[in-house]
This record gives sequence, structure tokens and C-alpha cells, in this order.
Amino acid sequence: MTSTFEAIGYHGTDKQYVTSILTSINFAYNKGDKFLGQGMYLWRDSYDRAYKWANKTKNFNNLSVIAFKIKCCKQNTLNFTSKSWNNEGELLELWKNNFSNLTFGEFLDEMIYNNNMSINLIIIIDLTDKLKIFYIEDNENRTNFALGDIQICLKNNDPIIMYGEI
Amino acid sequence: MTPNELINKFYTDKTYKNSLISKLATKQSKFSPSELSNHRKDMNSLYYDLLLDKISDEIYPYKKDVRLEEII
Repeated sequence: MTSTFEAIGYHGTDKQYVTSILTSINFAYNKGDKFLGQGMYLWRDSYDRAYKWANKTKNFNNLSVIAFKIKCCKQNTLNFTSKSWNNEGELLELWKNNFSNLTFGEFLDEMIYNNNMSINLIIIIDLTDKLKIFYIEDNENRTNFALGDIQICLKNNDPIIMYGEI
Repeated sequence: MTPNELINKFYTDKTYKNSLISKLATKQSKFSPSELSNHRKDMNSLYYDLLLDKISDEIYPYKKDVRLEEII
């Protein structure tokens, strides 16, 4: 049984911010993000996605991408690509039934920063974009494959093994 | 506290539950009511559908012979 989550993630930014990020990451950035709350956001396994996101969304002039190698134990990770990694389904139910006056990201930050829920890392499929579904035909069988971008939100330094500008 | 401990405590410890509810249930989101409403719909329909593997062909119309590069 898997007891850790390991991944390479990429963060797109402007070159002027690289030194600052490599010196000290501001985990209060993105405070109020609807889905996962504040933290350092990465695209899993995709330099290209990080680069394009920074270009399209932030309109930076001089793009740069920072790669992160991360590792975190299961009990300190929320993995929303699964509903049973670390009680993700139950946590979602808790939010939905009691605290949907807040966004899910706001709720998570309340739990982590004000109610001692010890989570260092959160993983989710990007819900702001549609799934890319493509169809593989194999005689009588039809198989659909769905691709979704995986977002990683680092809540602190603990999961970071190494990181640097590419 | 792990998520499991927090959830168990919420459902078994009435004092903790009431305290958490009184702290959070009255908090104001920084998002507008309509943004919140859309967010709840996003979380409900998209996320539960993803978790329960109910991927509908209507979400994204597929193309035959589509190349992987076009998707990624």
C-alpha cells in the first residue's frame, strides 16, 4: 500500500520573481483560492502547462518555470484524485453539509491554519477546465480515456525535496 | 490532527462540533453569493462525477483520430 505521494511539479512565473521564490516561498500567496486555498501551486508533470498558464493567465513578459521535486507522507496529504486516500470524500461531505457558506478552499485553509488539520500538500484535478476525452476504438470495444490537469498545492516547505529554475 | 481524526471528532464530540460550527458557519466568504453558488455547483457536479467515474461524453465531444499532441 502506498504510504507517500511523490511527484515533479512545475510553477510558471515571471523571471523577476524567480530569485524571490528560490530564496523563500510565500505560502500565503493565492489566499482565497476557491478550490484549494492559499499556497504554492504547481502543475504535475507538465512544464508545458505551467509555461502556458503563466503566459495566458498572468500575461507575464519574461516567462520562467521552476521545477519542484516533492514527497509527502499519506497522512499529511489530501489527494482529491481519489476519494479514499486520506478521507477526502468525508472531508468534502463535511464541507458540503456544514460549511458551504465558504468556498472549499476557504474551508480547507480554516481547517489547516486555524483548526490544526496537519496537511502539507493537496492534489486535485483542475476543475476549472473540461476533461479532455479521447476515444480509442478496438473492434467491438470502445474505451474512452480522460485527461485532466493535476494541480498540486503546497501548504508549506515540508514536502519540497529540491527545486530550481529550469 | 489528521483529516480522519478531525472528522471523527466532529461527529462524536458535540462540544467540538458546535464550536467549529459557531466559528465557521457565520464566516463571510470573500466571494459573492453568485460566485459561491456556482462554486458549489462546480464542486457538486464536476467533482462528484469525477470521483464516481461518471464521465459523460457531453462534457467534451471527442474527435476520432485525434492525436495525443492535440490534447496535451
